[in-house]
Amino acid sequence: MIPTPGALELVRSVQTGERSAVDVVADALARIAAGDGTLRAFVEIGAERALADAAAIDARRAAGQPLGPLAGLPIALKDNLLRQGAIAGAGSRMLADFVAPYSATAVARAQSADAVVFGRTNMDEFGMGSSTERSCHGPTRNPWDRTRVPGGSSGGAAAAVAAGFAPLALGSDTGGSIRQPAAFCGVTGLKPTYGRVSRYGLIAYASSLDCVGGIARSAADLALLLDAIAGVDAADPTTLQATAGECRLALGVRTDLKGLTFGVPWELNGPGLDADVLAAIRQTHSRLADLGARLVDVALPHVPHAVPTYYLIATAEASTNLARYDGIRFGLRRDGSGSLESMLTHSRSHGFGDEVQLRILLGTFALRAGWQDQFYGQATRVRTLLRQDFTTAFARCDAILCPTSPVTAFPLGARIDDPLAMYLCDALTVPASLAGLPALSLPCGVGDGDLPVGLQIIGPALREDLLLQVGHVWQQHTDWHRRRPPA
Amino acid sequence: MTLEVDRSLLQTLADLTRLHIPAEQQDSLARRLGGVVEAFSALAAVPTAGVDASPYPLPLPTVLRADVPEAPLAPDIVTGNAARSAAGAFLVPRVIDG
Repeated sequence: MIPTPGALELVRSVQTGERSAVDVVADALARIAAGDGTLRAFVEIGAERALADAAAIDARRAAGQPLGPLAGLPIALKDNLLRQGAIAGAGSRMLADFVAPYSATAVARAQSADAVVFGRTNMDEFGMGSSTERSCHGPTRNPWDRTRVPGGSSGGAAAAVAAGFAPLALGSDTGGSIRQPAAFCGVTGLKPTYGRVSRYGLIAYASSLDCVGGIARSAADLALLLDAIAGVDAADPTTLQATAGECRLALGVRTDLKGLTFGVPWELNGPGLDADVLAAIRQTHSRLADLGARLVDVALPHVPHAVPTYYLIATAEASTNLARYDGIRFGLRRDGSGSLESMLTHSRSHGFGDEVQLRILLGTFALRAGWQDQFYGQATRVRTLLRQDFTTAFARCDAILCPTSPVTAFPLGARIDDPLAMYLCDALTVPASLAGLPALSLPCGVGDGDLPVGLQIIGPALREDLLLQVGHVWQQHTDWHRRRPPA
Repeated sequence: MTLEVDRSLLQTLADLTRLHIPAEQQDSLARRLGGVVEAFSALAAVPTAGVDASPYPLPLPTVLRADVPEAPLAPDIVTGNAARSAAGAFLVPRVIDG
């Protein structure tokens, strides 16, 4: 099978008529049929609807109508984003039969730009996990080593892009759910600024943290996606009113990194990192300096508290968000002994998996009268200190560098019985989430076993254009993003 | 303040969250939850006197949409995902005797 082209190349080929949208989508479907049997990146493909959507795009082109900026592009959809008429299950037994009554704004905007949004990629249940082992559909495997996890919670999306099943994938990132699997699978992932992309139609996990973003091979492809899906949405009052420039246009501004200063906080570039990750990151720092960047030390003194801060806030919000699953309006229903109370308890106990139940209990604990100020309240105050750390650091630098994950992809089952060990996988991604900042994960090297290592670049709010410029320059001078996993 | 997550506390949390924890799983779940709570209790030592809370990561203005009626979802679509519904309503177990 020929190598899969990137998103930009595919769009150009459809817009010019060199290839039909049906041909592009059929090619993606053939790759999935040939390769997803053992990876299990998808829990559902929806080939018939994808081909029909592609045929409609071809018909419009044949009628002389102009096509949108994502013309004919197959975009794989994470299982927690709604597409009207399709199941959106969030990797949970609770929503196994839930048919979306409307589409998420990000999905609708991608479709308006003539993308073919298709399938359901696997994920940790309700986004609660860092390995995609916590799905009611079973785990997804890492394309680089099928005995290892792809990261999570958007592990299916990252594996799908890495394996060449789709050039782009839509995902969500609450505490690292786009960036960490992108790093584990050797692809590029963007968590936008909180509020840059509407969450309308995203199945909620933690509302002060959830973001919709994307996974692709390259930063240039992500710029294409972000320009299509970002912006104010009346259906989501947390979308930012501030305007931000188009990312795609900004890519050509730089050919090197001269004039840029990157902050390197010790707190995110030393403690707890595996030796192979540290070695790859140090080489990356040298290469960035060779490209003209200036690297300076900055301090983020409250970052060591980020993991408990994040998990107390996220689980507190999850415990209230998931209270809506009562077996009445939607979701799984079990009647129990026949009373309303019994039905509620049986429905929730059968519908939620172990990790989701643990987080609901933890979040309820953190919000309980008498302890609320010590746990949830304290976490929201430490979050303020963390935000102030970033503000101070950005007075000295344009962006902040660190690895995306302290480890490379770990073996299936290695951490699933130890919640704290799993939570610590997020130590480097949750700080940007708590501060609402955009962050990009780029393939930057390999660790032991030839497993991918990701570089994370964190920027000031609404500076996705800068992050994608830096990523684009990096990918013009390196080929880590062009490496392909073994067939 | 040291907190121990025992069976009694676990049952209280389970009641509040409408979750049934089977008896044979209660000790192991209490240990898992207790381990997380113990580790996170260290956050209380961070000095935060006089620090405002950040329930959201960025300042969010109050956004009001135009006061114009919009068509809601049709009743059959709203009830379409319910396990039991009839005549445009959700059916629940009887809550009033008689």
